[in-house]
Amino acid sequence: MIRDSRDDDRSYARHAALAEAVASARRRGTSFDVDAFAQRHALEPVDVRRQVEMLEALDELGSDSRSASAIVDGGSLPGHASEPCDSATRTLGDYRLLRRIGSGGMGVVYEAEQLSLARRVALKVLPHASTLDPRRIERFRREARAAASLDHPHVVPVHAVGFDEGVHYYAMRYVEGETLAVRMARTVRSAASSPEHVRAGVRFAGQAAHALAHAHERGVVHRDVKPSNLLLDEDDTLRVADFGLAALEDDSSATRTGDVLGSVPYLSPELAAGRRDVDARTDVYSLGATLYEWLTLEPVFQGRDRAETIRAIAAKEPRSIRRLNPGVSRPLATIVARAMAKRPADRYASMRELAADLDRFLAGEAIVARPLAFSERLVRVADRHRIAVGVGLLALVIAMAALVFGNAALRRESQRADRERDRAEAHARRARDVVDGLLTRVATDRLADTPHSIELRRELLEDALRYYEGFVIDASDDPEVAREASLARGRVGKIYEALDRFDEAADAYRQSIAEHERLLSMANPETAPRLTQELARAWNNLGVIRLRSSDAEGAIAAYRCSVELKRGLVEADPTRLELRIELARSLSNLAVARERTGDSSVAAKIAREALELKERLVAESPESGELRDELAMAYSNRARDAENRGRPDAARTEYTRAIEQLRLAIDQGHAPLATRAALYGSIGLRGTCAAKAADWPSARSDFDAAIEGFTAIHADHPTIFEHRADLALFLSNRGLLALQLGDLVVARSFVERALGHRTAILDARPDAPSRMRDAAESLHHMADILAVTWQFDEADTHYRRANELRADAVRVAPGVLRFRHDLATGRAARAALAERRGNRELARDEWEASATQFEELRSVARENVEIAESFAIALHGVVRAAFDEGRFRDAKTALRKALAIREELFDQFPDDVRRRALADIENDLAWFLVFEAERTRGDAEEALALSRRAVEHAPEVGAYRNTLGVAHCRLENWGAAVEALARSVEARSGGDVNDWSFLALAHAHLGEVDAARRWLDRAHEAAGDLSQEPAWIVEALEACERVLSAR
Amino acid sequence: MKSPEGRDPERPSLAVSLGRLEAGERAALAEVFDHYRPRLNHMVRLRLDAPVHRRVDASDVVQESYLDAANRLPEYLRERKVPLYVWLRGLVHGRLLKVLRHHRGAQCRAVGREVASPSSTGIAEALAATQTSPSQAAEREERRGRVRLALERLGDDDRDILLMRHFEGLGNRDVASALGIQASTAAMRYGRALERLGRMLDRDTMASTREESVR
Repeated sequence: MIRDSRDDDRSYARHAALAEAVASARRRGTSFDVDAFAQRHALEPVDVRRQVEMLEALDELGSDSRSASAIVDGGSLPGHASEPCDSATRTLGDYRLLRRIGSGGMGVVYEAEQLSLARRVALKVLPHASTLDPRRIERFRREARAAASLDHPHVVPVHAVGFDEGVHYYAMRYVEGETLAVRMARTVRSAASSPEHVRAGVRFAGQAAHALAHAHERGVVHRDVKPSNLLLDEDDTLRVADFGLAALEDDSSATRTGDVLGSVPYLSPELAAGRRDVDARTDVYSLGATLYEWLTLEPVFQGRDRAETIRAIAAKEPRSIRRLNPGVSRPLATIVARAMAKRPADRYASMRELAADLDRFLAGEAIVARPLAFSERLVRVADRHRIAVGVGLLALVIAMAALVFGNAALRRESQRADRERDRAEAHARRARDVVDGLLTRVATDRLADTPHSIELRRELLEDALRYYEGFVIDASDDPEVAREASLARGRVGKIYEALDRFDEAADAYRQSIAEHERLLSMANPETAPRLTQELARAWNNLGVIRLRSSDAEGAIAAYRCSVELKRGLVEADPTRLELRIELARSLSNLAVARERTGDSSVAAKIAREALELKERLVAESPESGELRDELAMAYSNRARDAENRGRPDAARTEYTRAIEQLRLAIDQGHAPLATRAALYGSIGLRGTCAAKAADWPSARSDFDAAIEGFTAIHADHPTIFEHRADLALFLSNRGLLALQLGDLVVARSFVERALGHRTAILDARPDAPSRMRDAAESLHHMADILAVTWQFDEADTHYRRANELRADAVRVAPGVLRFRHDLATGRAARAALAERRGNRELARDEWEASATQFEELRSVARENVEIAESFAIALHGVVRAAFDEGRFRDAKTALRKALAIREELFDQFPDDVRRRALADIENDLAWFLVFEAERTRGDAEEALALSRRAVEHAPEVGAYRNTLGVAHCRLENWGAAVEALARSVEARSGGDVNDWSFLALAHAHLGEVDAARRWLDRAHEAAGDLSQEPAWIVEALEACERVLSAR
Repeated sequence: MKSPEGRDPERPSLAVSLGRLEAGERAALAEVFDHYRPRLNHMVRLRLDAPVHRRVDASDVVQESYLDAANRLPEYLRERKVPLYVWLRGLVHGRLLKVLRHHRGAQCRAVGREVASPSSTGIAEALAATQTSPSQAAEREERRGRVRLALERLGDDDRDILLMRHFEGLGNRDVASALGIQASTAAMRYGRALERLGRMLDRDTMASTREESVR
């Protein structure tokens, strides 16, 4: 049936008309007349009814989604014309919601009726539970319960904290009145300087201070004091609301928009800096800021955005309160300034003290607080550095400025008399502590996560470096000062490492090691352990840097020194947790380095020791995320080991363990960048193992998760190339997986992305062999894909470029087996392509080069399965090339080598694939011995034995029976030959000329002339022109005819 | 004014804000925007993919669009081609597309997925979060399930128009101006989407009947 497009249009119009009619009926509140509509449009009522049902379902779904969204938003959806949200009919547990009276980032507030007690409450409904961290919820409930126990005339009583229908709520007494925020908004500016306004503000602040002091003395800190949390009832009595709610907010919710923006001006500097360990003095600040705003009718700081405001809170002094409001007296300005001091230590020590000063002020008595002295100077230092990042960095810069100053002082003083020395040392240590703090904080994630911080981080590190270089020059003969200098040397190394300057870092560590060894040689028993521990650390650090610059052998030597020293220390004092952690760490490092050089078995042994140590440590302190991170590292190492031993399933189990520990660590709040990267890395590597075990769906989901994780990390930290390399790795694996599943387009796109990242990384570090290797891998994969899509020239070019990079990598780091393995594999791949294209010379050269390299590799890493497999494959290539060129002796030699490897592999892993591979080689060698070798009886007997084994290993392969039959012929076991060949015919559904010609020969020798003739005719018929047939066929047929004619 | 507990001063009514905005008072934009914010959040949530959702907060997208709105307000007030909400929605939608592109990036282009497609996972998540009341009949529940499934399998354009009409609560005129097409065309597309949804449902029903008869 041909449908006119006008029919379509009419049908669409009818659907639209029906929908509009249904909607309009619903808006009017009438029911929709299905029959009338059906009649008017000449439709079946049943069809119309179905349409109406569908429309109803759609509307229901739509309204569900709106209320779901509203729960997430914490409010109803106003502005929706057709369906006004009627909260009047909604209930939540024991509460009937009457009307919405406010909203904010942490939920919506309703006026509600508590049904069981028939009382009016203000019900705060928090965002949907699933959007909140359960631990935060727990903290909220704890704090809210504590808040519920507060009984004070200036605290809004909390009636209940509950959870119902998927939401948490908080019921407090309903207070008729308005918030301080509203009151301020209503105040005319001209009234601000009036004595009434000022006094009212002080009175309110005093009431709030007493309420908060009451709470503080019962262990409840509000943390979110601000005008909109201070309620004024009809008698102008102030009450503090929302105790405990701050527990729900964290950095992430604070970055959300909306209400929190409003609370930013009242954040204390320590909260703004992201600190968690705030105390009651944060409320002192916020109340001070609130009073400031009341007095000036302006927020303390008002940046263009949240970040600017936060920076201002940390760095700027508020504008003079008395300049903004001349009605504020000097003592009152002092009270506010003291409450709002940047450092908690400079504020009122308690809310009670602030309350007392406010009371004194109201009573006309002298206040206790003294004006602040030094803050202004600090602020100027900060301004000079013009920090564009977070407050944390700002604090560091202030510290740096102090440090540079202190260092100059140190130099002067160190030239003075001996009695000054102690002071100088103290200075040095203080300065060092500052720089150490800087190093750890710069290295921590929170700063690294801050946008724009990378450049700043580098600058700070270089500043720190200059400082330390200066310090090191000042070193003296005194052992203690020399030790400090040596440690400083070590820190210089750390800084160079952080700046990716590996050679300089290694130099610094070596110098530190030499100096510490000297000091240790003349140390007393008291100072020796400490020096030993520091020395062990330095060795470990040197190992790390050597491994990072691909010097695995050097790393092993360094780690071993570190491990030995640490073992001694742990034996001497087994109670010190930190020593055991460090020992475990160095052991793990050593295992990794061993693995790099291919010493898998040694590596595994060491790794096991490290793992057991770490498991014990985690069992002893299960709450430590850091230890779990360490343990996860050990599991990952084991996983990698299992992987290298060709046991992907075991590796997956280990990765899963690692992932579990990392997730726990992150859940426990230990989530620096490295840990998150380790998590995604482990997931991705588990995917790799899943792929090796042919579990494609798991591989795919793991790769996707890893790619997602690393894409986010790379977006946040574009200059950290390690994570970019990880991203490239999993993109690459994902591409290979797609290739495996035959999806070439997807495969190519992933591989291209991986190649893009890897080329960029290599451009940035053209001398790093592992980066060469990575880029080569991607080139190789591209070549594979090109080869599959018949783009042979391009494929060959890609293989060649890949192999050039690999050869470079081998040149730079000849000790690394992996690189040599890659080169050998790459040459084999190129050989295979050449063979496929008929380029025999290239194929021969590449196969032989590949096989030679694999043979060398095998001589140093006999137990490496991958090398063995690859070697066997390359040998097979060599055999084919030799066979093509008639070099049978070479072919036979190669075959014998291949056979030995295949036997070994099948012994180790008796699986189907290796069984077939072994049978193949046995058959091939048997065939060669029968036909291409010298045809001695010994060869023939060996051939028979081989083909018997081939048949035994793969009874399903008919061709092997043919070889067996032919071998019997060669030994003139005619009966056995007939039997084997008949089985071959059977297995190969009728067999081919190879069977028939030898069957004819065998039957002829057995005197079964008819059978011989029948097979002979069949063979002739199949063969046709004999000159086209292989020599053995011709030979067999001629021999057969000779025998027959002799009879 | 009585307000027992609230973070913000009571909001002026939308009409007042709109009037001030119309009169050229740009400060009123914030009030109007706040008024529409939940609706805009909802619009974004319907179109966020699960993996993106975890990293993108709908309200962030909406908040970012506020700046766009503030910047382009004079232009809007001069031309006034579409209703205010539709204009704001368009800005948010544009911002959302940028965010999605940023997050899904090259991968999307590689597999040829339409970046702007409304996400069925987003719908599903929004639905999953709904509280179900026991009074709802099982039959209706089942029908809704089938409609939801069919909706997920619908083409992007068809689904988008149904989302606008039934989930976002836009009228035909609003849809037309949001899509920049004639009202009659919008109605036609709406009708077409409904017909296809109906056919999708019929097919599912037949499929499930067949399965039953086999058993």
